[in-house]
Amino acid sequence: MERVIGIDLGTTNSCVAVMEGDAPVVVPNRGGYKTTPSIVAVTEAGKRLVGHIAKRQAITNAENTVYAAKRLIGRKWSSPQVKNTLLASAFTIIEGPHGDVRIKLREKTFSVPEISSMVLQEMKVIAEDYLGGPVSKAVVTVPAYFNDNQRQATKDAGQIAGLDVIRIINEPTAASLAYGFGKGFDRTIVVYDLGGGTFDVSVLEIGSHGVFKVIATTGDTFLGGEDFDGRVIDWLVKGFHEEHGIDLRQDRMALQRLRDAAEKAKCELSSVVETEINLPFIISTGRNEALHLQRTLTRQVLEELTADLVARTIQITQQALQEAKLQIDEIDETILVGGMTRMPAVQRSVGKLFGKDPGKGVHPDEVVALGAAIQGAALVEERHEMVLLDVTPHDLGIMTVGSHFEELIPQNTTVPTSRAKIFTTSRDNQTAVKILVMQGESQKADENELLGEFVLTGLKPAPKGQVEIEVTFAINTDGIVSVSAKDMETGKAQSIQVTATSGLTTDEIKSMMQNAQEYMVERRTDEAFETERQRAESLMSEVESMFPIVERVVGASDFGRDALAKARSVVERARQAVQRKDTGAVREQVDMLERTIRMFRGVVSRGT
Amino acid sequence: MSADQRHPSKPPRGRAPLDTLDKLDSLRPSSMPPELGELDFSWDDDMTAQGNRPIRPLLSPLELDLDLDEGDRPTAIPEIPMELFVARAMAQVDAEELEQVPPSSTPPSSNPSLTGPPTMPQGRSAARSIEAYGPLPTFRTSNSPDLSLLRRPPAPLSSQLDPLALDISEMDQNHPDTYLTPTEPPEQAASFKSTVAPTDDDPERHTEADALSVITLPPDEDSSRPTMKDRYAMGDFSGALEIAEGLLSSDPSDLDAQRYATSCRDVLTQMYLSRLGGLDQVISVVLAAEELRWLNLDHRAGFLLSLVDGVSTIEELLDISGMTRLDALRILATLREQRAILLSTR
Ligand SMILES: Nc1ncnc2c1ncn2[C@@H]1O[C@H](COP(=O)(O)OP(=O)(O)OP(=O)(O)O)[C@@H](O)[C@H]1O
Ligand SMILES: [Mg+2]
Repeated sequence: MERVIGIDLGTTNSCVAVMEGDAPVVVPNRGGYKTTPSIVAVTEAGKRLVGHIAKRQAITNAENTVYAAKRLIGRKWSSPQVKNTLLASAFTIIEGPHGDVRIKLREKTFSVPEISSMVLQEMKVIAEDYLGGPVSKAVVTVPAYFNDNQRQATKDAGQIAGLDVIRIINEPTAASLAYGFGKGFDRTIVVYDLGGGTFDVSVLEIGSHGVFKVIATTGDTFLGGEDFDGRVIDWLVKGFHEEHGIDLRQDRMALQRLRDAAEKAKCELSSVVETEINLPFIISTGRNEALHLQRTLTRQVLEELTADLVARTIQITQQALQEAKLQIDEIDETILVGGMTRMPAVQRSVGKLFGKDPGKGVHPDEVVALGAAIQGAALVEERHEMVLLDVTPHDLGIMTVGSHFEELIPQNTTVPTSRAKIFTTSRDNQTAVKILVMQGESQKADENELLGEFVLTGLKPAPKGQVEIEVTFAINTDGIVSVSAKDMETGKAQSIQVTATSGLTTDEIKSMMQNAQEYMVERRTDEAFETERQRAESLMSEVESMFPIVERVVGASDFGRDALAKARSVVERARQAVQRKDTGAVREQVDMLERTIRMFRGVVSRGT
Repeated sequence: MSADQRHPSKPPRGRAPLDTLDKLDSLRPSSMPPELGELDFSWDDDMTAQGNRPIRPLLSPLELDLDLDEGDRPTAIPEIPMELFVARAMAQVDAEELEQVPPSSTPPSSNPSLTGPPTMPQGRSAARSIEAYGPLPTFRTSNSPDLSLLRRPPAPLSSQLDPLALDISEMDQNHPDTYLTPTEPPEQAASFKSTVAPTDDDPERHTEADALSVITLPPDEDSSRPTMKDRYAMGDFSGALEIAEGLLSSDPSDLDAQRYATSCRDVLTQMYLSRLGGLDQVISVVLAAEELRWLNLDHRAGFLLSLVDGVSTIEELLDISGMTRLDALRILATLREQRAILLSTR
């Protein structure tokens, strides 16, 4: 059966997992890391970089490095989130043709799902390398607060990457799954997720039959590990300035090194109490010498530097409890998600708030991907006890007269679901009605988010209140909403599916898929060449190393001279094929080289 | 470019190893300036003669009066893998360098701000004067292409040479960067703006009375253009590049300078690359952090070193270096010379 991979597409890092037998495992990337930075860059030479390599040049090539695309995905150009991200990003963000967001990298413009697709493609390749075969299906996680547009855009990203995203699930839900919740007991849990760029806290009610209700979810999309790194950088910069009078921030290379060192030190301080930061030749004095930076950072100092950040997460957690209308003692478990929760101060603070140690035992930066893999396997294997039911994140309804919001499907309804309500005309002789589909919790329509609109025409003229129209909302398992309106008398109906709001048209997605495929073919071709080249080169040097012996043994005979000349020309042809980058020709010469070696070995063994 | 980077505009000659001449082909500027058409680059085509390629010590380019036999043809197949061959040849010459040459006279190829480890005597003053070199160090070649070209009287002829009219074989292969023609007056070298790496603490410079003032002046169009061409013809590509960049800084649309700059960058890039053994070499740091501090590195070299992780290749490093390929390669070549990094195949 085809394997489904689970992908945690994070703001700062992504992680991919698969089921091995009954247990989910995280697949390490080629560098051996279990998470891969969700960073995409294009080099000066036009080469695409994804992951760690992109991260290592993120500051020196900031204009052409896209970081935290997740903050932009599925959002409208006009949204406040986009404006905030605009301020915080060095790369160029522009308005797309559909009021969506586009990103400029060197000369090319990319949609946000396209950028995310590059990360997903990377995760796909990691999984394929591990599984030794193609992968086409995935479960991808998104934050619980993601709306339909954001979910759809994430699906689009998957499609562009050549992945059929069979289900989108909420990150806290995935994390709870990985912790084994949803089997046996009813529980109320808090998922505290402090990642690299965002903080999310969700209160979940988990039923024993796999129903995961997100009762409340809050957070801060601009609070995460990066801010902790920032504090360490500030501290280093300040110290250096005091000592040398030089501002390290002026120099991008220095800043890149500071950033890397700050994060490294921060992570180390989760397991040791003191670490040394050593950056030789960090900056030029302008007097023909370079200065070194060397400082010792203790866990205690780190905790002091970041105490307010941790305090803020605790505050937000309390806010989430308030929204869920729950007391601390009504929470059965807390689970920690996100790499930053490895920091002892974070664990302490959460433990203190809830009066008990948070659940541990699963790596916090892997747990979401593990949950996604579990869900993926459950979906294809149809193991019913594992079926996960997600709930609607917001109230769904339409706008009625007086700009009033009329709810049809309340928040936290398990999906799939459908609800219908009868409405009527508000004017005499009204022949058309406009249905404005909205989501949100406010009574006032204009405070909620407009998901789509359509018009039902051809109503029979009649006094107001006489024509009855049935409006039906349906949500499928992916949380995609469709709305229809039917004239009860004539049976005339009109409907929309609230999906096409990811910001991309079908044609655009198709052409982006095409580009992604072409990129992949190119990349695989390069890799194939590289493999052949390495084989050819090691064989060439083997042949060459045998020349002197063969020469000694048979060099005097005609046969020997002939053989040596032939061997030399094989080597030369192989070299030329390598130079031409002709994979096929190199492969042929590899064969020839192997034969030559066999022949040489024969000669040598007979001659000695 | 930071002010602390020094660049000797007058590099010592013939110090660095000869690259294998088989690499000549790859040393050709990939984007030669235009009007290159009539040139015959086929001198080495199809010359795949086989045979031994003796490693000959050459005393000076002008003494190259060798009887070439068939085995000396440029594309002859070496008996050992190219990388190994190059590595050996380089190691040999490197060893000689260490013995024979004052360490201060860092090869001009190197980022000049990267001078030798402080444990070695610092002979800065020696660096600028040809006389100070004493006898030319021996350098080696395996076999040489059309060596007659090297016998061409350098200055007068070459000044008329267009870069396009240059056969690559006359570029100095044994020096990564340049070879100095003995006829060139030292003053000339200092008379153009050093855009790559201004020197400010070099005693030798200070004695060159007008050097410092000229540095800040816009390039002297009259003399710098021919000098650029001369240098190019001499194989002093970084020298030529400096002038070309100087010319471009005052007139970015200077086509001539653009051609020379591009061509120089290409050749230099290829030269460094062949010294380093190719883009797929994996770099690792061999010196301990404490030892590194004793090297006299600039912050750019420090930055590159910080990117070295023992698994990334040169290519990957170039991708993330945020510098031009040429700058990054130059620094890497110097780091290698300083034995700060080690190159190996994956
Ligand atoms: N041992 C550690 N100690 C402290 N912090 C760590 C440790 N390991 C990783 N981190 C930090 O965790 C953060 C990354 O967390 P994670 O991989 O969960 O992010 P993410 O899920 O992509 O982020 P987001 O939740 O914003 O989408 C980084 O800031 C990293 O420095
Ligand atoms: Mg996360």
